[in-house]
Amino acid sequence: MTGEQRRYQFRYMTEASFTPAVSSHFFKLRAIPCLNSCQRVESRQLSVLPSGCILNESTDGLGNLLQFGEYHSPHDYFRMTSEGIVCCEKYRVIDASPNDIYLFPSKLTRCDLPAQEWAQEVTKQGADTIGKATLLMHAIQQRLTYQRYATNNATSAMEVFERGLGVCQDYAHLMTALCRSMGIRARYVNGLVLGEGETHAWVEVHDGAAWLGFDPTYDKIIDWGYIKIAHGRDVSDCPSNRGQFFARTNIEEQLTIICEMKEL
Amino acid sequence: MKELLAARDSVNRWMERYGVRFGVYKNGVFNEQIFPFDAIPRQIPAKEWEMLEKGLIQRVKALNMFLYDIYHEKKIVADGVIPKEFTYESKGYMPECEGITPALNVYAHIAGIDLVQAKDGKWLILEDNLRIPSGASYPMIARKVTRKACPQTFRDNLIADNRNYGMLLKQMMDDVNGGRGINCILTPGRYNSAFFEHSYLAEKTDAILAFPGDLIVEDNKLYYVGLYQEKIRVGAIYRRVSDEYMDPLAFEPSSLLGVPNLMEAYKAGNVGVINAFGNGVADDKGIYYFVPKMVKYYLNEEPILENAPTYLPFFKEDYEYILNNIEKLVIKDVAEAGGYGVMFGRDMTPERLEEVKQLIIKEPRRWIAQEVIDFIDLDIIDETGNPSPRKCDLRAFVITGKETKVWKSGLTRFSRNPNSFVVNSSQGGGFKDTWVMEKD
Repeated sequence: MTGEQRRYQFRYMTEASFTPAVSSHFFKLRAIPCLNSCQRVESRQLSVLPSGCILNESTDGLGNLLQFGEYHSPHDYFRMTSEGIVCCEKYRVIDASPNDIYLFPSKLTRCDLPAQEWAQEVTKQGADTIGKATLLMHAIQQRLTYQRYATNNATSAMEVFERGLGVCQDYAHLMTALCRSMGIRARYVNGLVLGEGETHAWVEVHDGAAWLGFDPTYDKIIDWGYIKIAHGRDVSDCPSNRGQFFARTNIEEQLTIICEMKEL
Repeated sequence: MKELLAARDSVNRWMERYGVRFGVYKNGVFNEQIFPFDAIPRQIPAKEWEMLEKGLIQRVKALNMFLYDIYHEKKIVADGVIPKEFTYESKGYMPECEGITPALNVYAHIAGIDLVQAKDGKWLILEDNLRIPSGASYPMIARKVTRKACPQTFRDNLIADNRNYGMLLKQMMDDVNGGRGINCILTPGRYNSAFFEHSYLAEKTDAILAFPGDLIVEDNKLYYVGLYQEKIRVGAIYRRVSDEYMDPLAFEPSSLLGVPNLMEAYKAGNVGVINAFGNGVADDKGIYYFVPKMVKYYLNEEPILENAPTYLPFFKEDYEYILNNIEKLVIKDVAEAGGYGVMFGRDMTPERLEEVKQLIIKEPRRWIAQEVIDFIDLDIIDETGNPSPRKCDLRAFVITGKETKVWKSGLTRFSRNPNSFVVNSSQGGGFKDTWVMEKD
């Protein structure tokens, strides 16, 4: 990294509480900022509670850092805390040989003909990849209304396109799907953003040399203030937290997520 | 041969006692049926088998090299031999498998290759089954029973002994295991269509038959939990459960058949998985078209065994041919298996043909078309006790551990009805023993 740099401190915590207690709990997390040409991790720490959880680390098929493990004794909560300091340059992830899988639809990012035609129509003034992606992002901002609880983790880009409602994940899925339908490499990203209390999702579009960040929820080309954690074809490739536990009865589960990020 | 036919009744009684069954779901109801056995064996002359063996080994080697390539450098795509669409858009392609190198670089340890013999004697490949091909137990048990019923037949004829399938499997499992622990066969349970086979193969390979819930990953290693809760390290798992159900944290989150974090243990090289994850990308009906090209590309050899003539609507030339000749072609949905999603142009009404054409126009990548092959009939003894011809195919089993070997036998399936070309067991056909002859 050689250009202007900004440093951010972050803390990302999720806690699940269970009533009654559960046992044999297995989990897989993607919660640590990734390393790339515009993002360096100065320090990081991931801790899980209850203490005594077995924790291992690996990388998934798409290059994201993973932490996984298990806890066998009965427990009524599970807490993951990821914290540290990240040093960023202006958002631009250099990648001379991007993976072709980001050219093709995945389960949640299929695209039908009407949507494809709509995307062609709204981007016809675009001179190049980035021009088109920018026009598409503006059009998505016009088309969608931000609304919580209207969608879930399994909502596809086409449902979002038709119903016009959703949250950051849905905005990102739709933009990813439409870019790919026009032959533009695009991928789904999750991470943290300055000034938000929860995790965020956005899009990366490849311009031939690097991945540029687009945030369709805020209709903004990303420059500063975003910490990237993981990427994939859609959210199901890179969920931040997945778990399975065993219990003898129905479990009531409560989830709390806290994200804090500030510029140093 | 006469004795064999005469002993038909006792053979069938034995088969029933062994419980040679096949489960079928129809309209949501599970039924276990006897898998009908026909006493007239298919005979393959030694010379012909020699050619088949070479061709099958060559094909499976190329397929394994393709799987390695697709999850690593992807040279075959970069070199333009296979279009990108046919790999990354395939349902069987799993990005989770990117960069994982399985033990011995082998992905398809057990390949079930389906062939037919055309009327001119030429063998053609119909499909490659590289995920969890089933069916080897039926000829194994048929041979055992027929040997018992008429020992003389097997003394008087030079028939290759096929009782080594268990040993072939075990050797391969040991190769993959590398001494890390025990071998285990994972079955989804007794309501699976091939449960009989799972338990039979466990017995023949000296492996533990594990049910969902018997296996657990702890600190990134796989264990079998025994009767007294003791944990025994597993070095190789021959799983008869589809990829997407094998690890709820890596694949289908709602699966209860799988083992959480198995994918991580596999990735770390702590357990061998037979067959490897992600093989679906190589036995996709669309990829099938490219297998002869893979043989040339990876091995620099001419393919010994040919495909049935196949067209991909994805290519413009083929697209037009298919739309103009649809009434004489077989149309297959690339995502389906087991004889489902197969349509014969000649059996369809003009309205249905038009519908299918529209489906192809809408999603060219989803379909392949093949010429109807006039493959040979073999006689079976029908319900009236008389010989009657049926269409037959052959599933050959190719086992790859440190070496690639073809089992000197196979599953010969026949169609239920005299005029049907569909031989899949899930569609109600039967099977025969397959004799590989030691001499021509």
